[in-house]
Amino acid sequence: MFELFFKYPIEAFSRGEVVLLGRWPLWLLGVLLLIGAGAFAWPIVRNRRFDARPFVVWGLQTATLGMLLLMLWQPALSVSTLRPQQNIVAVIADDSRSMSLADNGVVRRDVVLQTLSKIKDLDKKFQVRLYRSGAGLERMDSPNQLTAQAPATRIGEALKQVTAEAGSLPIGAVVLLSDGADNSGGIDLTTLSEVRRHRIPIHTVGIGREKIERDIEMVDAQLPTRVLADSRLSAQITLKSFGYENRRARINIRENGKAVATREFTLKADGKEQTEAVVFNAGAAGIKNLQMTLEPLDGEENPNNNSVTRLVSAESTKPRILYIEGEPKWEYKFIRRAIEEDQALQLTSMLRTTQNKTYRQQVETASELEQGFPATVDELFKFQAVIIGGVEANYFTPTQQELLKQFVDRG
Amino acid sequence: MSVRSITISLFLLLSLWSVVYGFQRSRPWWYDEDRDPVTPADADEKTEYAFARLQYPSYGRSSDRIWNLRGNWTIDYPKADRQFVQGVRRLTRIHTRSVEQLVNLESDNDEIYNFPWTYVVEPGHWELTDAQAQKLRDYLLRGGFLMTDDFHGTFEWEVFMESMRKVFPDRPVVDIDSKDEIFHVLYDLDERFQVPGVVTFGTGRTYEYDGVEGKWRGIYDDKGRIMVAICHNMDLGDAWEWADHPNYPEKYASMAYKIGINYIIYSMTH
Repeated sequence: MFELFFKYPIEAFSRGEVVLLGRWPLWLLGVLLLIGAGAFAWPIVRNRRFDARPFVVWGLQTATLGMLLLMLWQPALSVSTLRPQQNIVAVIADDSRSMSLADNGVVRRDVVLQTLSKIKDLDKKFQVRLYRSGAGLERMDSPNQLTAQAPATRIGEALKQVTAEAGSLPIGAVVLLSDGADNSGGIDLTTLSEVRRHRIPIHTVGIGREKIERDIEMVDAQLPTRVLADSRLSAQITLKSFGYENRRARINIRENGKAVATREFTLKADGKEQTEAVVFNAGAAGIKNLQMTLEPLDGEENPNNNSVTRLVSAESTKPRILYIEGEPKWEYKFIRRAIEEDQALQLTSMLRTTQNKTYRQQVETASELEQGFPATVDELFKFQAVIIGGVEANYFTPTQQELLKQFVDRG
Repeated sequence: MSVRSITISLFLLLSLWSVVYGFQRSRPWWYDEDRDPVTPADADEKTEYAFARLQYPSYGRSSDRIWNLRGNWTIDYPKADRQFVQGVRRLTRIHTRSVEQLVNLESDNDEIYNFPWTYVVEPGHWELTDAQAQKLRDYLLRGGFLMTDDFHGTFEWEVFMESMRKVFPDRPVVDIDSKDEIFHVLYDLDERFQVPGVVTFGTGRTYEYDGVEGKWRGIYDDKGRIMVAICHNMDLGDAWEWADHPNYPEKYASMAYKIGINYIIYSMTH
């Protein structure tokens, strides 16, 4: 019925956009409609007949006029569609380890290959580009290059790269084949808005079961990329599990195969993400290849998604901290004690003991900070951090305040 | 009434009057007029620092040795404490409470942990139980600081050490070197001298018993920081208490204030 009146199916209207192709400006349509409506209303005003009938007639006349005017402005439906052999269809296939799982005896990777063979006719109509998605996006010439061995799936990153290519290539659509086992922490809003901005339709083809019965999966592991040697390092491990609620599990962290930390914890409800912190010593200076692993539990269907690897650079620099306190306080002493325990930091402090005396501790030379808080770039920028406590703003000269601003802006 | 009776009565009255008068006249000049001072209006102010005075059981309470009951934690209290903190307020930027804080080492009271600097007077007369000694050790190892004062001579030292050995059986008591930061953190105190108590001052002596020479000793922690600063053979508390008296020499009072203030700032910085 809808098509009888409007020529196209309702889906076309929901996807498309109604536009006016007429050359005349839209405001003219409005003006003419107002003039017409006024002319039709004139007999009512002149005869002073304010019952319902003349108003109904006036409404019908105005609607008819509006319809006629709209026709003159040539309404049309604008629908974006792919142009054969001119648009590119990007086909992204998930190549992560979870694709090596079998569902009802069929390996997911094989399902992808079968699906791709079914849509091979696609390249008769469009240019097709094949990609495989693991930790990043990689072009492939043939579906047989899929290995299902990539250590991670980053769907968001893959979509971001494809849409970035759309800037130089006429990509008209994306077909994504994946089991959806993203372990990069999901797709962030920035990526979503970037994809949306390019207005490229993404067609998803789900592979495998929607839900795994028994599995623990490491979704992400966040560590700083640079740390101080021998400092305490905290790894924030995000994970989720199915079928093991309230069971105890264990995270192991290894550096080049050598165990550096372990932590036991209790698993939360099915599918609920949880984050566990594991604190350990960064060790000696150097590049660390850290592998975070969830110990497989009995009956786990997919132990391949239990690990994440990260590189961390432990640096041997010993940052200097300048701590100035405006009056003696107990925390001054205990902050000093705490930092003294940290071999990776060097604390220099200034304490205003009286109105005219400042007590300095851990200065490099007898003359360092002798004149008070640093007043030159050379003096201040020797430090990597400044802690200010209990000091009123006007204690600092305008020059020192400007220096502090530059110090903070430096980042 | 016979003349004899009247004469005897008058004689007795005269004798009684002369004793009372004599006592009043012979009342020492250090008789404390300020034993019960008025509480300052800002006594309840929440401050960074308060003068914490340690209450302890006196030696002899639990034994037959009643040699000395004169020494106990209340000596010079509270005037010395309040007069000293006036100096701390005037001479430093330490936000200081006007009145002292009493702390103890009883098992049901952990208030001492809120006051990382504690003063103990007359520790030559203290007798800590094992539990109290353990609590004091815990307090000091957590970052607390103990200043001792007003005990003199060999015997009081031994009594002091009897309890201190319970606190730190394995840590030596050493003379603090004049180069130690505790003598330079605010005032340079290379030239120190014995500060006498008011009791001996009238006699011209600056020492009590056989404590002829003032000793500045300490017990250090594993990082080389002083936890217990021991002022032996001197009476800084008296100097603080009588600093406002014209008969008490300014040089002793001044030295006592400098030492006390240095010890506080040291404990707040190390």
